[in-house]
Amino acid sequence: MADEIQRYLDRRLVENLDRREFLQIGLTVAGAAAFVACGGSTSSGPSGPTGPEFKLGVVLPYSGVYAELGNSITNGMRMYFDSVGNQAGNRKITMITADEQVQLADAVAATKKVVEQDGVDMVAGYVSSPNAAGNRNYLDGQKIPTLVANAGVNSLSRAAKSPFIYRTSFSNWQPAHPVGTYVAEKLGKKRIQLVYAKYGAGLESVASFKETFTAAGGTIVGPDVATPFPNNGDQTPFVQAIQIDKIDGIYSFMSGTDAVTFLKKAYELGTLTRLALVSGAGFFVEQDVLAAITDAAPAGAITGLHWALTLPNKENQDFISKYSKKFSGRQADVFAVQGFDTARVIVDALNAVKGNTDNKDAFMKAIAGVSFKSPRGDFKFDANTNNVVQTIYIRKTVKDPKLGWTNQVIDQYPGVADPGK
Amino acid sequence: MFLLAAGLSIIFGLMNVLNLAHGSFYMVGAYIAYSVVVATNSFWLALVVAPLLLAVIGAALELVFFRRVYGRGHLAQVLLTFGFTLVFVDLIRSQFGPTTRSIPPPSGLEGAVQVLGATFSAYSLFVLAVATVVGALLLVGWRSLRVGAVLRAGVEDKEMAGLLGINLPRVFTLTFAFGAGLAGLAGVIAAPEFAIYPGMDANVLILALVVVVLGGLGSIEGALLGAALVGLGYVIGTSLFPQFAIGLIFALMAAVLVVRPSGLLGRRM
Repeated sequence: MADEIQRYLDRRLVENLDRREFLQIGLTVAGAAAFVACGGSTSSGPSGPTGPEFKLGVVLPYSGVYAELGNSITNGMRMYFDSVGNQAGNRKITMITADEQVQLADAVAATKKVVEQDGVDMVAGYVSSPNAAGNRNYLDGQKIPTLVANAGVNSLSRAAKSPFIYRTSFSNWQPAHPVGTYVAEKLGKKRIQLVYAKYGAGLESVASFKETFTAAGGTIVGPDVATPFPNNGDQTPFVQAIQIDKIDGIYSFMSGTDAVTFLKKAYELGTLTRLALVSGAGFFVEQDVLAAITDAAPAGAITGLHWALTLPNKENQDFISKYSKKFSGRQADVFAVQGFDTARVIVDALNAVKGNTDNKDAFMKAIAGVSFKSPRGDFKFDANTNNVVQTIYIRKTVKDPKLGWTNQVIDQYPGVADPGK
Repeated sequence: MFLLAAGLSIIFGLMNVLNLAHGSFYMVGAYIAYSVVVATNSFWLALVVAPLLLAVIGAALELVFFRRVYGRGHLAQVLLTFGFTLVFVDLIRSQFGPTTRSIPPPSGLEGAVQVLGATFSAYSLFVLAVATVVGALLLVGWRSLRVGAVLRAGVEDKEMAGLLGINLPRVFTLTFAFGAGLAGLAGVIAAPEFAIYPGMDANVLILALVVVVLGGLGSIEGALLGAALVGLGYVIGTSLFPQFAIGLIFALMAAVLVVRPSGLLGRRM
């Protein structure tokens, strides 16, 4: 019996050795073939880029609640890269995607995967604020040039700013700030109740609104309506906590599914139509929400955001029609715009340094210096905060005969920059 | 909520199968409702079609897959049914995309209603009415119809029921189909009230499991009571301290389990 086992083990050993040897030989051959093939192709292609490949790690959610955002941002990036032939500064640009998912642990794993396994030259992405904030120290420590393409957490432009991390999307402070002024001064509505999903973005957004609103003489009527985030239960008690008789209106921060269920319930109960004003950060009534609730949309809602589907500028109209053509009829959204601009920043910076990213300080300086006309208007970075400086549009929710429910731009605040503290 | 929990409780209690895919049936029900409403603009049609389709799906899954793991303990069942939740959620995502969708309440149930000075949305009251009717029917069926008796016999003692000439495999398939149908019904009913998105299954499954455990396994009355408790607990919890609502429900469950380990109306184990 023992002999038999021994013989069996010996045989296994031999087989394994054989296999390893075989693998070794195989790999050597394959490697040599690949080397020849590569050498052949780069030297024979006269028009292709001759520099080393530029690997971009794209860390975005492709599963979980934010999957839709991840897909839109990726589409936007792909669209811009395709438009310049996927090359810049004599380097071929390759996107290496990794799934950010929902939880920080997964986002950290995805970041480390692209940095350590794929050896990317740069990272772009991050939809959720905790995930951007949670990867900040790692990216900063590894000196990986990074563009945050959505996460709005204020601290990335303030205490947790890094010389290697720039943001192309917004800080939570930005879209809310002009709304406070607009509501109190231009609309003369002075009594507002705050309604928000109680998590980082919601809290930062209402705090920013409150700043300008109370400075312009407005009063916040308590108590705040703070819903759990995400709220998978009934929204009725929260809708009914709006004190219709005591206020001129509400300011709200909610997005996605929360906004959908809240607005539907408010519509059924007839709450919002009895208010003189519904205002909020643009996500409350952005296209994804409006598409889901259709006629339950709060007509006339006033919201602030750095983009609107209806922006008439040429860049935007171009973007919208090409996007829809490229992605089989999908309507462009604000996240796609953020992805598009993120890719543009990378391409412009690569061109500026002629593809040389070894000198990271010079590359970051090139990123900081990028400015252009985006679908959302003038785009540039703020040297103080490493955050985008952009126009915030005041929009009104309307039913357009051609576009359906959407937001019409009625006013704008150009050059809104995060205060950096 | 009750509809969902009742289906789960019947499956779990009678067949001793821990079906994690139950939430998926609910989600699929909601998406069927969405498709039917988009195609025909008729919520009422969806209300009939979805539970039937789900019952067929449930029966098919039982015949092909679940049947094989009855004897293998809960771990194998959890693995198999959890696998199905992943399959379902990915199927839904590939078919419908990750976007949140919603359908309007059926016409006639759109507005708000004043009851005793408080404002309710008409649809919420409709949900309440449907749950009450279905609950009552289930109770009656469970207690006084032959089917109910057969089911109860199955819950009580499988071998004895088998000896008495009851075709247990068939009963199992039908029960599973019925449970899945109930989940589908719950999905349709919930569709206009809540948002429809991939992931809605997981949220509701946890609550349904709590309801079942709280009320006692294999007991319709228990599911009813558990659903009422969880529902009240959740609503009161969210309005008093929103961040702790889920915690409150689990605290409630823990407290009940300490006092009555088999649930409020469960069989003694």
